[in-house]
Order: sequence, then structure tokens, then C-alpha cells
Amino acid sequence: MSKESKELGSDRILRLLDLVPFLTSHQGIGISDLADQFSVTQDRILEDLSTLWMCGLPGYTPLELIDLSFDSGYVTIRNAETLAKPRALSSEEVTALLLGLNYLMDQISDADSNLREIIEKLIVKIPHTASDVHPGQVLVSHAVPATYRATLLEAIKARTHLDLIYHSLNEDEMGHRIIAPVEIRQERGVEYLLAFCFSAGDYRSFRLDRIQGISDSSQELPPTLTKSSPSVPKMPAVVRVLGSMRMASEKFQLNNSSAETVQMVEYFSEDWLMRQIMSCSGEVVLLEPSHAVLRIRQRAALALAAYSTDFKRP
Amino acid sequence: MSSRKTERLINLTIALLATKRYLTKSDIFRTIEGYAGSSESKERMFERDKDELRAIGIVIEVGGLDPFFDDEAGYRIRPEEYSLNLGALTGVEIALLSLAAEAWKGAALSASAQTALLKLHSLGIQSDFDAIPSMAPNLNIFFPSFGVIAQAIAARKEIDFLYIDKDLNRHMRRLHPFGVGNRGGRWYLVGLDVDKNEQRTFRLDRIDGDVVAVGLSEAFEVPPQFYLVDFLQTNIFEPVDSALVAIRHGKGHVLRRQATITETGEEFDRCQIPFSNLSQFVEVLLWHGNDVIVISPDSVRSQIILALERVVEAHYV
Repeated sequence: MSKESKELGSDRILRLLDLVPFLTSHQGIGISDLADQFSVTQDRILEDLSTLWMCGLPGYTPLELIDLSFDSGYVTIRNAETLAKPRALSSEEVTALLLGLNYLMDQISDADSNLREIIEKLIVKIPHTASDVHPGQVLVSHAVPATYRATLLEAIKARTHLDLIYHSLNEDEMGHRIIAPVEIRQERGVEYLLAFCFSAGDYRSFRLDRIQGISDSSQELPPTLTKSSPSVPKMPAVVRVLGSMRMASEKFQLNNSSAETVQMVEYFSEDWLMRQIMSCSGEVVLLEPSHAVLRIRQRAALALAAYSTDFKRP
Repeated sequence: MSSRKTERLINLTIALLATKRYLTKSDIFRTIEGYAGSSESKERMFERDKDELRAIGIVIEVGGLDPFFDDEAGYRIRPEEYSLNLGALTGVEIALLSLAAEAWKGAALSASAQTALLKLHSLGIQSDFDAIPSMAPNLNIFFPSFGVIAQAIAARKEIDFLYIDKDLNRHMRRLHPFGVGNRGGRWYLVGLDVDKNEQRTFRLDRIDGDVVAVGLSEAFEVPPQFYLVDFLQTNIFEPVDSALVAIRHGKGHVLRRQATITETGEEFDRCQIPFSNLSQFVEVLLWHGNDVIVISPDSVRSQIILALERVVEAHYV
């Protein structure tokens, strides 16, 4: 028996009820398209249609039964007026739409204030019952403008080049990068763009929330290399935690359940490691690698020197 | 569930929706296909069917009880309760609702967003995206319990969860959740901590494991004046003080976003920067090493100097 046949009966009832209005408004839709829309296999959709075919108003003569035709691979429905309107939204569906609208509101620029007004009206239109989220109870914003994401996705599809203004945090540098975007991926809730960077001559990952501007690149560039993922090697380091374990755990993504004070951490960039350690005020101490230990000491000493000379209190 | 039972439930729904008057059980057994056997087994079948339809959210009304006439109870589904009614929607509104639903792709409420989208598309209104700028919305909420929290807020149910303290110990918290939202790249949950009887803010990334909704719906009232944006502003983001710092040219981009430049020098700019949380501000300043130097106030300056001395002392080879 296939895994899918263990589906809950209630899921099937709901899908059958939702199929009728969808078919009514999409007469002649193909079976495979329909299966995609409802996220099930074509076999399952065919079973559903066969079941619906046996349903209708009391009497159950051809006059009352739902009339479906689907033998040519395209589905049409007749005589299903009773179920033709979509079901009311469930409270979780209302929640999803309200939060989604709240987020869109945050993403729309001031130039499109008329759209904001439309969204505000929609938020009121969606049936709020006593058990729905009040708009004042949620706040969904995003560090990445949806228009940036759209531009990147379009460029990936069209294989065009872009000019990014990018803030590289570890080096604390702001600059232009000419890139050929490859894909967007997510890791632990952070979105990254994988791209061939012409400025670096290699593949690079860019955090979407650090992109400060995007424009089309008019520069003539050689075609990019084959699409292969770059592998940046992770390097091991050893730290000792003297202060808050939670702070150390959050900054270095330590194993949350271990209370050991000496722990192994992984890093991609030595600049990152150095800055993270410095921001811990001496509560997390780097033990290895020794060249990074030395750099931290030098960097902290340089800053101290600045306090005692250049920026002496008046 | 057998196909025959599925058919019977669909037929029952259709009949109860189509009827203009309440259908009694005997009407139902006589006219709807699939009810068979002794009268007790038909009764049992119908009771179960009714419960199943109610469990999936279909409102079945009971009525027609008139003691004077010794009437039998009747049942019906009101079309206005059953079906989606958002009034007249324009193509632009449908397009915006579609974007709102698509934003959940791959995130916490994606299943509900997808079914909502199917219902909206079933209204048969053509989406009009022409008036909307090209957007690829992505809510990117990866906290597995986000759906549970949002639903508990909607239903006003209590929730339980383990919260990680600064020494990585876990404590069970019971909360009346009032609101959830993000700001400055972090997610916050606000509510009444039941054991402490105080309003508290929690970070979603410090919740360990699953959030569980407990008890009944409508278990508490949200204070009428509660407004999440204002609450987070007052309790977390309101600047408590500001510092005068020197930032090296071409550096300190994160700090510069909130800074007011008071003086531009040869190598450094002098900037006034407001901050809402001293220890977090100190961390950011230290992160910048000798590219950012605090000039005043003394309290911040001496804290940085002390921290730098500790770093130098602890790091030797």
C-alpha cells in the first residue's frame, strides 16, 4: 500500500468540498494541474473525482447528481451549485492571511501608498471573529525588501548580471560587487544569495539583509563558469567560556545542552571570529588557533592605545 | 475512511446546505443515500457523521424544536455560515491576498496559507498584478512553534514552553500570549507570565523545544490598550541614553545608520548615537575594535576600556 493512502478521512472530505468550487471556477483544467494545485498525486485526484461523481442532492438520479467529465484529461463540472461557493476561512487561514497582509504592508514603499490603503481595507474585510488575531497583536516585518528578492529571482531566471551594493559585515566594508546570481537559499532563518562574483573571480554567498542596493549591470562580462556550489572550508577553534553560557552559545552556535566551559567552535572567517570574541568583553576567551589569539590581543591593544592617546578625555 | 462513508458525508453536507427548512433525522434517513441497518445503527451513524463534520469546522445548526407540537429536532447548514463571504473583491485585492498567502511558502503556516489561496482562487476573480510592484514576499519564519503561538493568540489559549536563562538552564513558563512579532531581526513573544503575574517579553530563539497550547479557548482577556508595536518600542527599543563616538571613515556602517554626525575629521567622524540597551551597545562597540572609539559618556568609555584590558590580559600565546 502506498504511503499516501494513509491520509486522514477528514483531509479528504475537506479536499472534496474544496474541489467543487475550484473546478467550478476553473472549468476545463487539466488533471495534472489540478493535482499540483491540491498538492496530491494525479491518482488521488482521479479517486476524488470518482467519489464526487457519486454525490449530489437527495434523489440521486442523474438530475440531482454532480455531473463531472474527466475522461479526456481535462475536468469540467456541472450541476454542483450547492457546493459552488468556497468554504469559509478557518481561523488558522485567517491568521495566515492577516499576518501575510501585515507583512506586505511593511514591504510596500511609500510611493505605493494607495496599495497600503487597499491592504488596510482588506484587513478589515477579512472576517474577524472574537477568536481571530487583532492586527495590533502582530508585527511582521522583514529586513529584506520583497522587491530586492524579486529582482534577484528575475535575474536568476533571465541569467543577467547585477551590480550589488553590499555591506560585508566581517570586514566592515561597503562596496560594489558585479555578480551573476545563481540561487537563493535559507539557513536558520537567514537568506543567502549564491552568486558568481566577478569582483572576486569566484563564487560567493551574500546575505540578503546586507544588500544595500541593486541595479542592472551594464558592464560587458565574460560568461560565468559552470554552476557549481562553492565549498568554503569551516575551520575549528577552541574557546573557554567564563561568563554567560547563553551569550556564548548564541554568538558561537554552541551545542546548547553542554555546560562545558571549554568548547570547540567552527568559523569561516577569521575576521568574524576575532570580532565576536572581542564583543564578549573577555567573558569568552579564544584558546586556539594561536595566530588568531595573537591578532585579538593586538587588536584590543590597538584600541586601548587609541583611548590613551588620540582620544584622551579633554 | 471508506469511499462510501466519504460519499455519505458529502451527500449529508449537500442536503443540509440545500434545505430551506430543518431536516429531521427521519427525513435524513429516508432521503440521504448511505444510511442503512437498524434504526439504532442509523442513529449511531448519523451522530458520528455530525460530529465529524463539526470537527472539520462545518457549523450544523439544530432547530425546529417546538414543545407545543412535540416536534422532532431538525438540522441544517446555513450557506452564509458555510461559505466564504468577503463581499465584492477586486482583482487587485485578490492579487494582494495571493501575495500575502504566498509569503508563507516553506514557512510556519504554509499549509493553511495554501488552502486559503485555493479558496480565494475558487471565487473565480481574475488576479490583477499590474498595479502591484514586482515582489517576491517571503516570511521566512522558521520557528517550528510559530503556528502554535499564532493560533493560541487567536484563540486566547494559554501556552507552556521551556525558556533558556543566561546560564542555559531551562524553566517552564506558562503564558497568556498577547502578541508576537519581529523587530531588528529578532522575534518577540509578549504576554502575561501566569506564575509571576507580570507582562513579560520572550525571544522566540530562546524557547527550547515545542510550545504547547493548554486548556480552553478564550481563557483570558488581552488588555484593551495592548498594541505590540508600542509595547516593544517602550520596553525594548526606546533609547535610554546616547553616546558620542568617533567612527573611522569608511567603517562602522551598522552604527552609522542610527548616528548623527556632529563633526567630520581627517580620519574619524564624531557621531552621536542613541542606544536602548547598554550591554548590547557595548558589545557592538567592542565588535568594531579600534575603528570606533567612545568619547563620552564616561560610564560607557570606562566599561569599554575595562573590557579591552580583560581581552588583552586573557589572550596571550
